[in-house]
Amino acid sequence: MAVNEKEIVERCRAGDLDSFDYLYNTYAEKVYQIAYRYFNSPDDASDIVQETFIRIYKSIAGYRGDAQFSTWVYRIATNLCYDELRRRKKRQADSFDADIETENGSIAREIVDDSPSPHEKAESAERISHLMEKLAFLPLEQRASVILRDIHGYSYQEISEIQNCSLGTVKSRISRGRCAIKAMLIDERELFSSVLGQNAGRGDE
Amino acid sequence: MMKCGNVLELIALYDDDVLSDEERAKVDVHLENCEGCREALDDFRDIAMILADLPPVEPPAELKAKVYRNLQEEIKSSMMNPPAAKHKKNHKVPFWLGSMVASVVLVVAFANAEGYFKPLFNIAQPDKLVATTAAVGAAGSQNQGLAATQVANGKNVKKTKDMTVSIKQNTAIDSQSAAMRTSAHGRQERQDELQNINHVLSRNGISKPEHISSSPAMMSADNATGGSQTQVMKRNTMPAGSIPPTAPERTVMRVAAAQNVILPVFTVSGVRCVSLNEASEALGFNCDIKEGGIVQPIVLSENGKSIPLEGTWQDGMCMVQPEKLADVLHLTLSFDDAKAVFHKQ
Repeated sequence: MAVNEKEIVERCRAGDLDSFDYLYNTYAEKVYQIAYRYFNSPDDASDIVQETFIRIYKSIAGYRGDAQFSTWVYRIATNLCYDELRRRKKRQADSFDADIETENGSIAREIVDDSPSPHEKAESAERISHLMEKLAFLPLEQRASVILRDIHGYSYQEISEIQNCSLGTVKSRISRGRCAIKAMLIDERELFSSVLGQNAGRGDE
Repeated sequence: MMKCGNVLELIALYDDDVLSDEERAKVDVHLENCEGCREALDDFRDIAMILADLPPVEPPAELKAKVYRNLQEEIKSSMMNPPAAKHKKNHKVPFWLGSMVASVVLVVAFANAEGYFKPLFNIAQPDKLVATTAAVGAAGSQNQGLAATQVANGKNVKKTKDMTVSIKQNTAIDSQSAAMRTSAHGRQERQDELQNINHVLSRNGISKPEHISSSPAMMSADNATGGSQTQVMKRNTMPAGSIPPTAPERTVMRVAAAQNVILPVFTVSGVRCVSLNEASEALGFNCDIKEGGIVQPIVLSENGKSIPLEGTWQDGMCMVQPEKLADVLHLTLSFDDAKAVFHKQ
């Protein structure tokens, strides 16, 4: 049976808690996953979920349906992630290392818990955590775009709605983000083979 | 022939189907002749593969319980205005003029060394608020049809059909929802809402909490410390003695204190205003709504001061002019689209 999400959202706006519950069940895990990639921490991701749904509850009256409901939810979540990262960055600004230099200019270190999660298997764990470490160095908007695109598979159009920017901006952020990651991986020669080199020899199409 | 530096950013997007035909053609030509860039494409593909194959993470089992308990706290604490109230454009009473004016007192304290406004919190007293609404209602508003007797001693006003009906005719929703959403009423509505949450919780196998104590670690929020204790900001604790003991619990929910705070703007009788409740949550101050024209003394915190502000009622919500708010809080105000943006000066 097809569920009409629009109706559910309307009922939720009218104060119906069952509808809110439905929306929670639909979106909470996704929000958790998005947030998790920002912070690499279950606690932080949980906090984001909490905060996101409080916001949804409080401001659903202001949701006018111009964007998809899912987009609206993810926008709230990613904005909360940004804000928290910015807050941490500010706190750490004095005491922290120099910026990392890349081809695209220097980028500052972000604060992320990069210890591998229990989900990751032993072999790929090292690869993955090295890569996720690099993600932490990206400027926030680039990181967001890469996370949404490469980890969660959202389309460019969806990302432009979530981030409330033009398609061109999304393209540029993703492109620069990926270039920055690659540059950082190349820099670390000892990790070169651990991440890169899987596709060696495939060449272009 | 494009330089490698220029083409790299295009190569990064090669597989995403977002390059124009022209761009793709340029890249293809370059790739034919450049080993380094062919390797670069491989690198991008490696990275994409790893990112795409990341094992999905599952939220912890108790997350839902935490979220709902947090929500309960929010509802308990939002005694003044409901979160999900709709704002009607057509209202029957001209609010800015005459008897509908409410006198709002902001209790604002700036005690935080970090500089960004992080006020101390006092507790709004719902009993007084209810009496206020009742008094305002008794003055003859069409929308607030409370009987005069309910004003009497500032007692809690129980859920009244009148209020429900008046909201109902404005918003045409069922009465249960109306009961949940109507604002400025006593504990009954809040009880209903909390009961609903409890139903949802138990249906989901989540037991009612004894006492809500979890709070987001990283948010600057705090939770109830006890039945009748006041809620304070984590960083700015107030001495216990300065708070009236009858004040209820309040969770200080500091939602993402971004540099700029953006609030939706509503037009009431041609005047731009913002919801006082939304503003107090987002900007982090507390307020005490008094009867129209009568200022009652408030208990101040150690570092706090109280500032009177005029507000008005619309659909049971208290609205204030953002200009005045910005003035009082020493913030700069600008308007973006249909939103008011408050910046730190």
